[in-house]
Amino acid sequence: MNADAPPPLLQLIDVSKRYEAVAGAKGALVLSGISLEVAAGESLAIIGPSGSGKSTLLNIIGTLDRPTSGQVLLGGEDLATLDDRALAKLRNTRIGFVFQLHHLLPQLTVLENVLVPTLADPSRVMNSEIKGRAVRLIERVGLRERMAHRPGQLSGGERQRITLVRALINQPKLLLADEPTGALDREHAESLMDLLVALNREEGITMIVVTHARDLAARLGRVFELNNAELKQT
Amino acid sequence: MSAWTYIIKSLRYYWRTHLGVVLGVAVACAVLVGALAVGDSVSHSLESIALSRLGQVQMAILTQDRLFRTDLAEDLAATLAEWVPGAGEAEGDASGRIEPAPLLMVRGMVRGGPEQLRANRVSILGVDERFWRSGESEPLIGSRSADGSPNQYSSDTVVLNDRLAAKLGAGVGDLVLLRVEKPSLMPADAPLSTESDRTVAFRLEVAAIAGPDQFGHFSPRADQIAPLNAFVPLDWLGEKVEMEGRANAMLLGPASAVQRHGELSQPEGLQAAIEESWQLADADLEVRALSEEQGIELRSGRIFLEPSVVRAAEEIDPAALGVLTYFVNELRAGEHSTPYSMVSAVGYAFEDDSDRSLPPPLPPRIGEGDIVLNAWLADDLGIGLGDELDMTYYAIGPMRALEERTERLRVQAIVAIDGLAADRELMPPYPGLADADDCAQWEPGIPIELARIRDKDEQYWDDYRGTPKAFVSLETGRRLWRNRFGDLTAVRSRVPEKDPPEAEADRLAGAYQATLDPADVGLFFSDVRGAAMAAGDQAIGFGGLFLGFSFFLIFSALMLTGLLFVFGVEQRSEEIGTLLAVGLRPRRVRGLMMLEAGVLSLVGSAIGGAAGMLYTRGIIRGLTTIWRDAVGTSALTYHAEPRTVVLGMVISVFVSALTIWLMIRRQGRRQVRELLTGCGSDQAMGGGSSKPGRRLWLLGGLGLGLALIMLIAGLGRGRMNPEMFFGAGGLLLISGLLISQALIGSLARASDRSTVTLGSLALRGCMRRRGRSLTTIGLLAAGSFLIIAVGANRKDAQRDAHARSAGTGGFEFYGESTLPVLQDLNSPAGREVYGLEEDEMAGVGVVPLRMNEGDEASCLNLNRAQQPRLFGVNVATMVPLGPFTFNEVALDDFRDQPWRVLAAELPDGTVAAVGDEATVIWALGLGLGDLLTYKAENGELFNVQIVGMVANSILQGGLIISERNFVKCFPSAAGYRAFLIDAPPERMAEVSRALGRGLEPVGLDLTPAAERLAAFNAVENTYLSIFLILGGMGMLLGCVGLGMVVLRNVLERRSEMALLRAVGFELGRIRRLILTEHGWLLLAGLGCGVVAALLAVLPVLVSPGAEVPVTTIVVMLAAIFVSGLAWTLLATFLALRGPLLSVLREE
Repeated sequence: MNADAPPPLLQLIDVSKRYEAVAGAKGALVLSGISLEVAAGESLAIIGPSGSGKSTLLNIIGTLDRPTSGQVLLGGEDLATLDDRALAKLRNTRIGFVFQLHHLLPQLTVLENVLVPTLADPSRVMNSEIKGRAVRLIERVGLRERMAHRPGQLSGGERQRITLVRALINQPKLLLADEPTGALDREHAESLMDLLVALNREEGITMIVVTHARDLAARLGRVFELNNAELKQT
Repeated sequence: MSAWTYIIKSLRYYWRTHLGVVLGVAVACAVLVGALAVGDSVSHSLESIALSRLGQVQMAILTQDRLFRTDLAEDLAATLAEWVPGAGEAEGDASGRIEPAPLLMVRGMVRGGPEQLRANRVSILGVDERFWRSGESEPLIGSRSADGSPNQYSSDTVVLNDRLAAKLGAGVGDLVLLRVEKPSLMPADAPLSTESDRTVAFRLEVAAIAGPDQFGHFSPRADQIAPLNAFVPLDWLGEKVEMEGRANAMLLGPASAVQRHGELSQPEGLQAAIEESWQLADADLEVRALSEEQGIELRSGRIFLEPSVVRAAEEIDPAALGVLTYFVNELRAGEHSTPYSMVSAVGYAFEDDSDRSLPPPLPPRIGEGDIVLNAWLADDLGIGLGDELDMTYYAIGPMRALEERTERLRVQAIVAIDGLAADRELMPPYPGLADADDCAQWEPGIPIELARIRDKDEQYWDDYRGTPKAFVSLETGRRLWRNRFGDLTAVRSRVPEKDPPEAEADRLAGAYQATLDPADVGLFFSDVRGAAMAAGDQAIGFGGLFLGFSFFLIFSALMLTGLLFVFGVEQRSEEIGTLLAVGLRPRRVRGLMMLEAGVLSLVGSAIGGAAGMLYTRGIIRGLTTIWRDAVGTSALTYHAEPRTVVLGMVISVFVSALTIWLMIRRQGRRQVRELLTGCGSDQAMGGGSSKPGRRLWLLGGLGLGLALIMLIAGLGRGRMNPEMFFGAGGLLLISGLLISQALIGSLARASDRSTVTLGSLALRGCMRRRGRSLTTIGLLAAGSFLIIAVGANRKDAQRDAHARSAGTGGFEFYGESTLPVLQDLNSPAGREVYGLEEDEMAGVGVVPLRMNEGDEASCLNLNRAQQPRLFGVNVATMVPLGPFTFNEVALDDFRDQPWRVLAAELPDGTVAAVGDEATVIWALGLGLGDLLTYKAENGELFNVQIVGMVANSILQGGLIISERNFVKCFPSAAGYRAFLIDAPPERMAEVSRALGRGLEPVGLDLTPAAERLAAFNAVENTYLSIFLILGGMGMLLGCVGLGMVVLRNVLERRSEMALLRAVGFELGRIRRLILTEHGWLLLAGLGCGVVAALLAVLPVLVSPGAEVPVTTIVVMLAAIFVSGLAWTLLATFLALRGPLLSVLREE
């Protein structure tokens, strides 16, 4: 790596994850010595068979899980050195999550769901600038008319788009999407991928997408395959 | 979006789930507020009752058996007006004037009404208009019109209070028969005190019925039960009982005026006013010039001069002559005898008489063992100087036991009836003698044979009245005739020839008045209002009591609240995972949840606060109706202080929020990925190290071992130690729960290794949520433990009632009389006085107790007794009987014969006392070794120390001290007014009739001892019933919680159930499976609690007087089991509603 070049946004160094044995079941090595560098603005896909550890890897990157060994650096900062409070703040401000299941709060409207991450910082909850951004993002995903609706009144594709907007509300540097199209039909899946690609291109958001669908994965900058606990670029 | 938006939206969205939480909080809050407000209601009611008892009275002088001038009230009013102008007339405001109101309060009995019912222990109050003003009431009787004539109701009429009227069934215009005790200046127990005419009866018309608003409930005693009062005019009563112008109580009010004047608002401040106003006549003392010689005499209407008076006399005139004149039965010399004569002991009262001489014609000194005869007696006996004679007289022992004693004396001199020897005033004004015109009218209070009186004796009486026929030295007289009332009948001071005796008498009277402390003769004010308020303030805290009763109900409601909220939170685990994933810190998430819970708690508490007031009304209604035995009055009214309601609501909000916080704090600690996928928890079944399991087994085993050791220790002393057994039971309960937890863990692990069977499936069901299963078992175990432990403490007064160790002491009757019984009811002579035949009294034994008026200190009095009644008992009588069971004795030396402890000499003159355990602990708030300060009759303070406590007995209500100490402290309290009576059980009815008839003149109230004990037990038993009912409600709520757990468990396992259905299980079989799973939890909980509780209460079960309501407990436990099953069944049906197989399709 060139010493003058900016450090990569994300760096995984020899990351392993082992689940301990529990009564009646053996332990399992899910990730083994994974190293990876992701530059800012880059997009990459991780594919692999079920149970290969894709989501575990994404959770480790997203600080929802910790590696058994190895280092995860975000913007050059070792995540292992951060306490829970700092990790929560990091998740809130620098990482956006899109899950396979949308996990929208049923009691809130579309707009309110989008603003849920702002609850983390009580000083920002009434910030009109953020609200304006939320509205713009909702318009951007074509759901302006649905702003006052509840998740139960939306289609699967619409819910997933709202999830994406929620992930972007705090202008994260890194967007993590775990099977974002897994629960969608083909048409909605492609539409969502279009959106992700466009956001990556237009907003310069670094993006890591875990998916089964190789064709969708092919639309992103780099594609990695996780198999037998090892990650290889295809 | 703000946090509040999120919370409000969540509250609205999850309202169904939250409804249960709100209701749970509401129940907890209602019960809490209700319990606290019951306390308010009781306190307020007691205060109202106290105010209706005392009206505007702040202070009172209560001299009981001593009488002072009614004019003392006017003198005191004048002094007060002079001292503090404002106290006399407050700026034209008559109501602000401090006014003393004299009263003559005597005991009596009233018969009347259509059925001629009889009421004993009635206070007959002689009152005038000042009394009614003290009560801020219109005068009903005793007032005078402007011209001084009595008003229309003042002659031959009586005003009854409403309780007395109700007891008799008498109304206005009815005639009632009043039998009134005649007070006597001379203590009734004193030698030569007359026994006849102790009562006087009148037929009077009921002029009015006085309720609490008309001051009809006046009583200086702190008791919520209204007294039985009959009001008559003061001067009328004084005249009828031959105590005109005399009173034995004085009230001081109005309270607002008394309190306004700093120094007068304290008894000490008022004492100075009494000292300024009183006269010797208020202490029945008289200083007068002697008519026969140049001297001044101090004498007392009480005959014997009290020690405090004698001390004053010594201070004033150390050279005074002391006189002790006694009535002797016989003076005999050989064949000659002279009956019934006065003999005077004379000598210098305080100084050695070696350098001074007795007044002539007596010889200068009379030697010890010598006697000086007057010429008449010497002639009558036919003896001369140096001859010996026998003097026979009565000494009066306890219970007026007459002991005839004889003293041989040598004739030292024979003197003419002249000078001092002719002084007929040497005889004190013995009632029954002093006023008799001739010997046939003598009624000296001792048996005399009038037939023995000869004509010459009658002639002597006519010529010389009570002039002593002989003289002995003062030392001899004191040795023979000293008694607890004194050892002098007069003190005489010589007056110089030049001084007029009358002027000197006035001077000496002034000196006596200045030297004597009126408090020594009972003239001191007590702050009765302060005491009444203190009695109410320190009363049994009903708030705390009902809080205790309601504890399990509140606990269950809170557990249910917590469970429901947690279930709601668990339903929203995905939401929590999302919040955490998007960067909210766990603390922030918990904060949002807690805010939500806080709103629910607020709403629940608001509903609960309102419901609590209704609940309080219900409890108060219960206490005045079905639970009336617990409080003994129906005068309790609802009253809730706003601050109490608010406090209850605040506590509810706080406690319910705390419960929820404790239960949800774990949620924030779960992994986000677990939350998002909705699987996995630290409580989930299977897995885990077996180390905690081993630790649980170890702890459980340790608990069992300790319980066993405690059991062995509990049996160690030959009797079951209740504390040890209860401790062992408690340990067994904890061990049972620990072992249950370990068992659940090990079964869970075992089930991992077993093949899949229906049984293992059921077991897995139980093990799936170990925490929930354990909570269920714990709640049921604790509840059933409490129900049995409490239920077993019910007491049956009839059980082993004849045993000396029982709460009856083995006595058949307990009696209290209106008037004192002076005689020994065990002796033929004593029985004869009351017309009790020997055959009907065969096998009857009476233990008489002296009684000092005081506060009723039994559990029937809700007030905190300030000065409980004192009973004096002859220790020598009690020791051989050994009645009652002593739970505690302070001094080890007395454990074998605990009643001997009453005779223990304690330092600083402290008096040893024994009390019923309930009286000491609950009614007085004291414990073994604690001290209680009393005022003796002479105003001096003395300490009573609790040195023994008797278990659950008929002795509730007061403290027992030795008769010796009693008479020392209260010498004027005559005779016996309480009786423990042994009788052959088969002849109870006959004995009761005989005693009732014989002792009717003294107004005996006879109660079978077992009945009295049952009345006391009823209080405790009623409390236990309330506890059982509230505890049972808590258990039922616990069963609802169980249903919720089942519902939640089954809902979580719908897919498992669907799978069973898919592989061919019938729905009914699946239901049975769930029912079986939770039935085991139910049985385990109840089993754990029941076994531990039975062990804990074993000593109670086998103790005398225990009345275990087996049926109630079994029914209650069965109801809990059935209710638990019913809720489980309901939950199962609800959870398995709808097509189960669609769950699989959805997956």
